[in-house]
Amino acid sequence: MSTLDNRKEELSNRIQELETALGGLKSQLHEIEEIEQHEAIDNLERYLDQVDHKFRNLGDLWTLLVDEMKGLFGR
Amino acid sequence: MQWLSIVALVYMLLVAVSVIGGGFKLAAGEQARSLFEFASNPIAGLVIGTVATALIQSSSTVTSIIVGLVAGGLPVTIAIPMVMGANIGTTITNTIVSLGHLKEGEEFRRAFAAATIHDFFNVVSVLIFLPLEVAFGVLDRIGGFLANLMLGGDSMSMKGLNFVKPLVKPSVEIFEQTLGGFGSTAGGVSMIAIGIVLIFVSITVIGKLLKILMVGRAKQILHAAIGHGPVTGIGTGTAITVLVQSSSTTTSLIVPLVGTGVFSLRQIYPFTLGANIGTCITGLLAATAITGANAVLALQIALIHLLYNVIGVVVIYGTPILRELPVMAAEKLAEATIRNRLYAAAYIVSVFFLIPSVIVLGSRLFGI
Repeated sequence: MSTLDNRKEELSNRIQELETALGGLKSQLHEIEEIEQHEAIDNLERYLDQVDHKFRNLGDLWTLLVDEMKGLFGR
Repeated sequence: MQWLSIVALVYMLLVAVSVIGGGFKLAAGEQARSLFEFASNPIAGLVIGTVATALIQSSSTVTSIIVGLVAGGLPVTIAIPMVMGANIGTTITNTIVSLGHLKEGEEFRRAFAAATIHDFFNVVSVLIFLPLEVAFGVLDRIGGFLANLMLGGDSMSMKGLNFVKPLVKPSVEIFEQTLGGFGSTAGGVSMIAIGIVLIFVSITVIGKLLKILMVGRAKQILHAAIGHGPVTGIGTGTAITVLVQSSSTTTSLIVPLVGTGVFSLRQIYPFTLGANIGTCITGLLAATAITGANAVLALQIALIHLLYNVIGVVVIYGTPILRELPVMAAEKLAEATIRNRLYAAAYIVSVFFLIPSVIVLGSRLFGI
């Protein structure tokens, strides 16, 4: 077997190892993300409160817009 | 006790839809078409549906009113753009909810995109299906065929199975006898006004009660959907919307979930589409209460609403290029809004109020 063939085989094996490791990491990340998603769903009541108080958000938008307009016109 | 209240409120909703139909019939008589002549332009109908829903903040209320009006003689062809507009108008609620993240830069970008993806999907849907409907009347025909199949009186008819109508009829007759005494116009208009108020109150209170009662079940469904594909996402969005009887509640719930970065925009996209389908249940329920010759037409418009949303999801989400359009538009707008918050205000005012007003004024001025 030539040196080049050896090098080629070595690299292929290395890539395969890295790909397996990457797959494992992706799977771990996916699991953590899913745990976070389940935790967020457990707190669904908190988000329902936000829906109920949505009109308060329009007041916040108005305040922010007034500030941005003042900034825009330098007053 | 809360379940009993819900049953009573559903009954009130069904009576109210029939009362609107009866009132419209009484006030307009054979003139129903000419009364809605201003909305015979499909763009005007679309705008009416959009603005009415954005103001009332409930597509279920608007579609139930439309079902009642169709039962009273409003032509289905005029009602179709209105239900399409209701789909657009209802998206204002989750956009307002996303403003709760306004002070958090990246969080607001994600939340705003999660809210507006629903808007853009519904706009794309109207851009595709409204011209097709005007040209070929496909939804009108399929809805008519299905409604006739279900109520048309042949062997496959479900007419005999409908137990809602006999339950609703006595209450509707009380309204007709009481208010009909004021004359056809005054009595009819009073019935329409009372019907609208009753629908609004019943749907709002039902929504509030169901939110409390169904939150546990909604959690179970959401937990079960995690890690599954888009079809499960669509099914989950549909199921939760049916449970809480409000698409805006469903689509608003996912806004903070995306805002905090726990879910991605693409993960919740199918879920918002399910909300479009689930919200049709109220219109279908409303249609079961209609009696008389126009019952088929009331069912037809409710079925058209369902067909429009199902076909919209299949065509737009099923076509890769079309599927990406709402995602790209929502992301671009959210990025622009991060640079300047004025875009958020400009977007809400223009999409839900300014552009519709300009379109209506333009069409009136130029007689289109």
